[in-house]
Amino acid sequence: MARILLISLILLMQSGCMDQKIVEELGFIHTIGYESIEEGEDIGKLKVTVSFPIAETLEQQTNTTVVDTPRESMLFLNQKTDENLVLGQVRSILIGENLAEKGVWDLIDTFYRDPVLRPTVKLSIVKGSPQQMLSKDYPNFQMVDSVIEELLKKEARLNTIPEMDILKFARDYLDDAIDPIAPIILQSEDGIMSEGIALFSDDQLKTSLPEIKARVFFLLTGEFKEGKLLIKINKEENVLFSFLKNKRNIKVELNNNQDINVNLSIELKGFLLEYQGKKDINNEKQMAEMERDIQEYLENEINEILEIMKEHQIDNLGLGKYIKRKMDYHTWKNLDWPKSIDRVNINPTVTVTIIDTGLVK
Amino acid sequence: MYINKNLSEHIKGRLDDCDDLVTRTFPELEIEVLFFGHLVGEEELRNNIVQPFSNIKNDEVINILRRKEFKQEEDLNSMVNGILEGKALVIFKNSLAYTVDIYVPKTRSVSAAEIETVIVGPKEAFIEDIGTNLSMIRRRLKSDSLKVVSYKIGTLTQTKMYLLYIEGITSSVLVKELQEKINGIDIKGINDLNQLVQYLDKKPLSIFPQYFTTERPDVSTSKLLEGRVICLLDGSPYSLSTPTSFFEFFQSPDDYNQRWLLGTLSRALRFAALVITLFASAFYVAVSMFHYEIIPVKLLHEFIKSRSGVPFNPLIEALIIESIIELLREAGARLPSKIGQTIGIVGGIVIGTAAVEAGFTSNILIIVVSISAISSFVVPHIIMTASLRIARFIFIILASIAGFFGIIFGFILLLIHLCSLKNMGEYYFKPIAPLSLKDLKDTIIRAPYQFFKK
Repeated sequence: MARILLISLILLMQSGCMDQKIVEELGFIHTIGYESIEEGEDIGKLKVTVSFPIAETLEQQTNTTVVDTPRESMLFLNQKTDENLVLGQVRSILIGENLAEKGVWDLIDTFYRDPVLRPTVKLSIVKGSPQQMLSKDYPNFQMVDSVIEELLKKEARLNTIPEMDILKFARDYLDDAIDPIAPIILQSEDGIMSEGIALFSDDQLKTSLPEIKARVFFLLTGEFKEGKLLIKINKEENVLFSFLKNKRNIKVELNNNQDINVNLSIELKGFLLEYQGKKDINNEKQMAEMERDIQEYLENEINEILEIMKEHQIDNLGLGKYIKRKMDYHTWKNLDWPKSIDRVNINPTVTVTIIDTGLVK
Repeated sequence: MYINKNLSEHIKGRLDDCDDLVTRTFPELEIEVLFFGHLVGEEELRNNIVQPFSNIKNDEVINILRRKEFKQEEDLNSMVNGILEGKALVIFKNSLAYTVDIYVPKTRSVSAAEIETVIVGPKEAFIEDIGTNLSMIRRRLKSDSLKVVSYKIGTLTQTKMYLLYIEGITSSVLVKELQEKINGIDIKGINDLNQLVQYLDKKPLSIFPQYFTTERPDVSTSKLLEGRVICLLDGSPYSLSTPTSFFEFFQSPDDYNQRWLLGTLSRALRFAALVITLFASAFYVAVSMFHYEIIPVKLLHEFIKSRSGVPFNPLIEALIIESIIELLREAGARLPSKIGQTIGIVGGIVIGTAAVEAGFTSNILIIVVSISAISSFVVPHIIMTASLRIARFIFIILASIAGFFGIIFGFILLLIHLCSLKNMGEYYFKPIAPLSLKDLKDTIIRAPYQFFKK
């Protein structure tokens, strides 16, 4: 009995140890946006915008503050509202383009360490200002933050932008053989739209890939398992190619640790959804020709992506991972990846097989 | 004490002021018969006493008294006790006494089980007469290895009690231990087996029932076959079985009478119900007081909306609603069944809807509490249900103190307690702790009979 009393006493005293967060007193931040201020007296500081729904009306409210460090912002933001703002329900983090160019690791690190935040919080780069994106009134929808979440989810499913969360970003950042990527979204006239992939070098935004190249990029990462590909062979010919199978193979050959050859082979199998042009899709010879055309087109696109990566000395595809496996640690360290990516010969080969052209023959 | 003279006076003196004592005399035969009229059967009285002593001569009396149903008594105490037990005491020549058992208990007839109902299987339940109850078991177990040991419990009530076991299956140590325990009980009287069970409890402070009681003769028989000891008590429509396991309370004869797959599934359902009834309300309290992070975003808005008008904090809110449910349950149990239905309607529909509309509680909590109340009824044994109700309140309070940490803390304490409980030398939480994989096939699942070895 004495034992039970002691246990209950200890437990009762524990109640002071954990801060209660009663659900209706909280303001759940849904989306949080960061940008750096480029002009004016606050130059160099962070502008933090949060959006959260008001419980009774479910209207979205936004709040903005200007601070020096990411975490400081919570103090100032809390002063501006009657609700206790909490981070536990954050679904996406928007980072302004200008801040991303300066480097985002400090920011990600803060979130990554916080146990309250789920590691699957989506990360995206905003062309323009996150504050404007969050606080504008859109005619077609009420809650812009949930629209952003849905848009990111949908576009990632359709393989036009990567699904990037803070866990993945941190993993890619901390791995020296790969550079992180992130989706780009921008504010259009009447809504939000996705704009391809942002390519990082370490934690700094370097360049971006437009949407069409983004799909080819996913073919290279092997993450694009199933989907549609719009191929413009030339001005008259458009092919909508839907594929069922994508096999990616990376082979690295080393010659005395000097010449590094990477053979990137992609095997695509699929069927034509739509074709506009002069070829007869029932003619096998012409179809073989079309397969070659598609291959050529894809190889071109891949080469362009590789050129971009070489130009900026970045490796967002993770080719470094395959090279790292082939050499010992010391050589790998000396290689200074990904700065040495232009020393590597990358040979992409694409094989396309059209297995079906439609119901009617 | 052997008394030769004035036997009748002595016995009447002992039973002084017992106006229900009936005396019949056959003056010409010098025979006096004493009995309690409400304990004996009229037909038995006529056949055994009235008829034999009618129209006979003096010298024939001795022959009648030699019949085997006439048992000569020499001790005054046993004569009085005989009368109290429903025998008729025949006094011859005011010096010789014989008892004739003409006891016919006035009890209800055997009827269907009301608490432990089944869909498929025998319907009959024990009644208040121990003889009938024993006959129900004997009828199911026609074996000479079924042993019945008789006891008397209660210095005043002298309640008859039978201890049943099967020789060869039940360990003799167990039987001996239980016998010692029963002999150790020193009370004036006992009304029901469920009271007796509490005298036998090893840990009276535990919230869990430590002996398995059932009102079903078929369950009792199967317990006997499993090597357990059964106790029957006169005046109680229950039997107890020991050693008891926690998991016995989650078994129903339906599991065995229906096909094994259905039995396994319904058993799984019961364990799910156990988890729900223990943790659902506590989970609500923990989430709304500490762990807002885990609420799905689509539910979040509705959650805040329903909570925002409520004036109490989640703990008070949950305790109020849980108490209302307890009130309803208690009211429903005490009321006659015809009025009992009204309680359901008033309580469930009127109070439930009105409480939400008045902003008194959130509708999500109403759902949570109702589900956990329904789940508690899925557990087949009403005594275990009551224990779980108490545990539920403890979990709610723990959740309000430290959230999930508190719930886990309480759960571990509960597990430690369950594992430490012992019943007649057997662990209460067997076969989970100590683990016995062989026995799991009849505890967690109900495997096909072909899988059981004899």
